[in-house]
Amino acid sequence: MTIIDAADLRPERVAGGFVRLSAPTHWQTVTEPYPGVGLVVAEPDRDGLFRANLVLAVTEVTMSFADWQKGTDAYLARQQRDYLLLDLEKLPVGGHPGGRRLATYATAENQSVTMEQWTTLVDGRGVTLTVSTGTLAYALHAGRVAGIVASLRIGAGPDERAQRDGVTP
Amino acid sequence: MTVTFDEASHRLRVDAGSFSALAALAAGTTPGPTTDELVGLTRAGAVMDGRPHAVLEPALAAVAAPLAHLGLVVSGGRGARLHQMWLSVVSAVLADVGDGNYDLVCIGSEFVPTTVARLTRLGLRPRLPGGGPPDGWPPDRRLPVETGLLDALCSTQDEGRFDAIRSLAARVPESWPTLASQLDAGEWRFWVADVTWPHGSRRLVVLDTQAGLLTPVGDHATMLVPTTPTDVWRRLTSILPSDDDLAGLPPAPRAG
Repeated sequence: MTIIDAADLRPERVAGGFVRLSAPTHWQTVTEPYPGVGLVVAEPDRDGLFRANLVLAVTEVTMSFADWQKGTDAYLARQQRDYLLLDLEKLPVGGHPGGRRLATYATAENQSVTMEQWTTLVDGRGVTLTVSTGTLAYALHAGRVAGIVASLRIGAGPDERAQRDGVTP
Repeated sequence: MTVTFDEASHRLRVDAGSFSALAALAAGTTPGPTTDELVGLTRAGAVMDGRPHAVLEPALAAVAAPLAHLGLVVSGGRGARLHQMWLSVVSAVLADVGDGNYDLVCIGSEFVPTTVARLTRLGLRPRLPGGGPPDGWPPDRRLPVETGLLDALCSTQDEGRFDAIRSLAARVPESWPTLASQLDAGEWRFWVADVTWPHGSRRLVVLDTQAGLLTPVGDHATMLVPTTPTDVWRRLTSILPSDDDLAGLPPAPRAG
């Protein structure tokens, strides 16, 4: 059984506090991630082994949740080598209706990766939390990943509410 | 005798006798290949100058000296196949193609779970309503089984498998009507992955239908209960022996 110590997680805020979550304390934040990606946090270097990481993206979405996710499925199958979709389920994400996807693929360096993704659509903004691990380390990270997902909160946070109301928080 | 070798893709298709002959040739064990076998392997390009082709050597090295072995039986209404993997730094996969022939391929060992998932067609399935710890599985959310029945589901004899699935179908609770209809229609797959190494072993058993997945629980696998593709994948990614397993050490506590 994996025991998660709350002290092992640190708070993170993305998109002006629209998304709040906890990330592993000893994982490293990647500065200047790709455009559209709000947060990238990765496990320290492991002698060339795949570094577990979480990526949080908040994007404008002008279609329904179902259409958005169908497009995501097609994109992943097209983009990822040796892609295999293993599981899909509907479940609340950060307190909103959403879904979870489990898949595996091979990196360009021929490493096997297991990817777990939680998505939801709130006020026209699509939130995607992706946690990727080396496939043989997937079960080892299960407890930590559960802690990250349980910490996810989405919606107008104090910063946004203050900005909207013209009040300094 | 079947021997087809594609040097570009490194893929070799062989019958069981030719594979044993090639493995014996690579390992230098006796009896080695017969003259006919050697001619067949050479004609296909799998043997050159009396030695296995260089691109086959990593797979054959894993076969000769594996750290662990994985046997995967996949059975269903249309037959049963036995796939084998020899696990080392890289792993050899001998996939049963169902007509008496096998494909030998070499993969990185971290791709063993993916290979098992592809051979068993693990993927999206509905969830059968179930229970689970800590409350346990109520009688209408489980299928009582015995070891002999699970063994029979893997039988290479059609009659043995069909008898077993009929027996199982008769036990399906009324709360799972779609499962009963799938079993009655012969639309089921049952698979057992057994990993063994010198000091230990692990096993994963799954009954797969389009109504949902089930797996045995209990010390003596006394009932089948609902599971999910995610849970099966989690167990599959943990099925290989760790360094401590291979050293014969007790399991280390897992970090989070």
